[in-house]
Amino acid sequence: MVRVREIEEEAKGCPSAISLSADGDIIGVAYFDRSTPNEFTICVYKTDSGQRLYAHSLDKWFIGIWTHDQSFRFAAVESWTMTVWEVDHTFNSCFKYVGAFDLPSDFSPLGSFSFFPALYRLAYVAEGAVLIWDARSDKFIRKAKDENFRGSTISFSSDGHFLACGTTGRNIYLWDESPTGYALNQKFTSSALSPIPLFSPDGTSILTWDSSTIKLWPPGGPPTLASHGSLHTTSHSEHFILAFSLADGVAAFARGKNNMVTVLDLERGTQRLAIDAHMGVQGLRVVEGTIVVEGLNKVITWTLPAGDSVPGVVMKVEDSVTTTEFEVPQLGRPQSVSILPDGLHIAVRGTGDGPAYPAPLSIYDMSRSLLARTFAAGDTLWFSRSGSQVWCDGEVGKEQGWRVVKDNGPTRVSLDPLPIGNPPEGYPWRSSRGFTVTDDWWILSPEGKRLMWMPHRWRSYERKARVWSGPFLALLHDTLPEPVILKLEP
Amino acid sequence: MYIFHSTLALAPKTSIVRKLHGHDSCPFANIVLGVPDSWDSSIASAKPLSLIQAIAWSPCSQLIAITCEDSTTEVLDATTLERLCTMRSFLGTRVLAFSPDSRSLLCCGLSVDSLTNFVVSWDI
Repeated sequence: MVRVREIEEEAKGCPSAISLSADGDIIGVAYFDRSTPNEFTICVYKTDSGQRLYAHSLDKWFIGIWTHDQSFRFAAVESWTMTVWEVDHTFNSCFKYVGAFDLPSDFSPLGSFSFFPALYRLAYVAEGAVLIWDARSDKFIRKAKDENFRGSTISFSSDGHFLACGTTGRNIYLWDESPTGYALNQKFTSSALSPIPLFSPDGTSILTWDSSTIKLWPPGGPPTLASHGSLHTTSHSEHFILAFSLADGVAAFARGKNNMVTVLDLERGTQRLAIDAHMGVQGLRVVEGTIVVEGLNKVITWTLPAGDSVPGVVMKVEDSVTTTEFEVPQLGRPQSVSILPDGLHIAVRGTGDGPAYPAPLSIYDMSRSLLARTFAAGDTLWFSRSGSQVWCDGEVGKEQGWRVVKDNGPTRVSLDPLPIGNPPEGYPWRSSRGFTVTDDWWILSPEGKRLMWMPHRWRSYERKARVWSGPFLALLHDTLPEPVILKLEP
Repeated sequence: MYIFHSTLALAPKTSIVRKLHGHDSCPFANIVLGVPDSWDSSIASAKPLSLIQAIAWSPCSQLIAITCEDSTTEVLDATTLERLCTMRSFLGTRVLAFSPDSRSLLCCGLSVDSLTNFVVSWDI
């Protein structure tokens, strides 16, 4: 390394960003003067001589400076207006106005911004939410919430295809471009407390860092980044686990994640079956040798093959026995779905639409007729194994359930509220063998003996899984792609 | 002690804590499958001796530059995070940028007495 040039001048503030022109002839630096609110100075220097060509003060909140052909452009925000300027490469004028956009009122100057200039997309994170806004169409193309987004840093990949945001909870959210905006690709964990993501310019790797640690994630990205083209994940279809027994008596767990369902053979500790459902998995059910996969507007069934598995074989939609599509009228969009074991009824929970329209829980028959409707708190919805009850999960011991009463056959159904409490069977706090999980996260034996305490990061199973099968218990970690399965032996 | 046992049962197979204390793992819970081999799937990590102030990736994606609180700037191999070279510059470097051809590195900062801004260019 050879030190070739040094520019030194009277301080204009703390440097916020630096960039070079495409030909390397000029350097642009943005300085922030902490003694003056929102006071930024943009300076442009000649690379070879170190001569300062321009210095221009901005009484606005600086967003970014970037190379634009042989010159620079930069963007700043003031009073909900984002303005873009260009440093004219002829040096005949200081800054050329390029354009201005009125920002939505959801944006506050206190948040963090990332700007992807080529497509004029602005990502903004503050107050526990991420907003991605397209300046050209003046539309939000993604809104996401997580309380740990506070104080986060957000960045686009160089092609604008990916967007990453670190959180104070050590997680990094990764979204990828989809026809409907940006879809959550995955959430992964860095050991850094508040990791800052940084994409490689060629888009194949991602680096995360905080003040003391750098982590490099594999080419193609962590777990499934490389396969982004085929993923259409929603935050409601991340993990579902179902415990059941196969026809030959083998205890099994099925895991649904993204579009894939995996059936695990617990006796051998191997994968028994993989199914590509080609839709976001909202729920799973096994009824007499048939595995039922539930999507938001579709239910598909496959016959579970008996006997030894063939490694690597994946069953696809073409291999299914039935596919039932349904379109249901909702208040808000569908959020969770469950099918009754009789295969004749579907329960759908919508998101609601603000305080005036709380989240509805609706029961439909397969011809899409509405049979019953009530309103429900909680999140994920499921029928009990007998089909006599339907539950929405909530806090431990505070789950909401209804007795499903079939009046005059399958065409009339009513819902009678049950006392708030624990569901009666297996999900997720009590197993059919008598194992229980207490409010303070102890797993107890049927005799009430403390067997194990559940560490915090392993509690994500609380909302997403049906986790007991005899002595077997599946635990889901916040970020690990596979469940850990324990055999409890008091 | 129960909490210690419980956490050990879920520790990755190659983790140091499991190697050292695995025999103390929870006796009531046998892992059937699913425990990962290591804590995460990152392929490399680095812990500089001093707090990191800024990071930049070279346009060719082969190099990563970091600058630290102790006035050192390092260039790392972007596939292994191995240190390729170290430069000692001014205290207070806050931002970094590679030249478009990835052959030069710019370090920009504010001097400790806050009186001077500096931009230093290095040929790599």
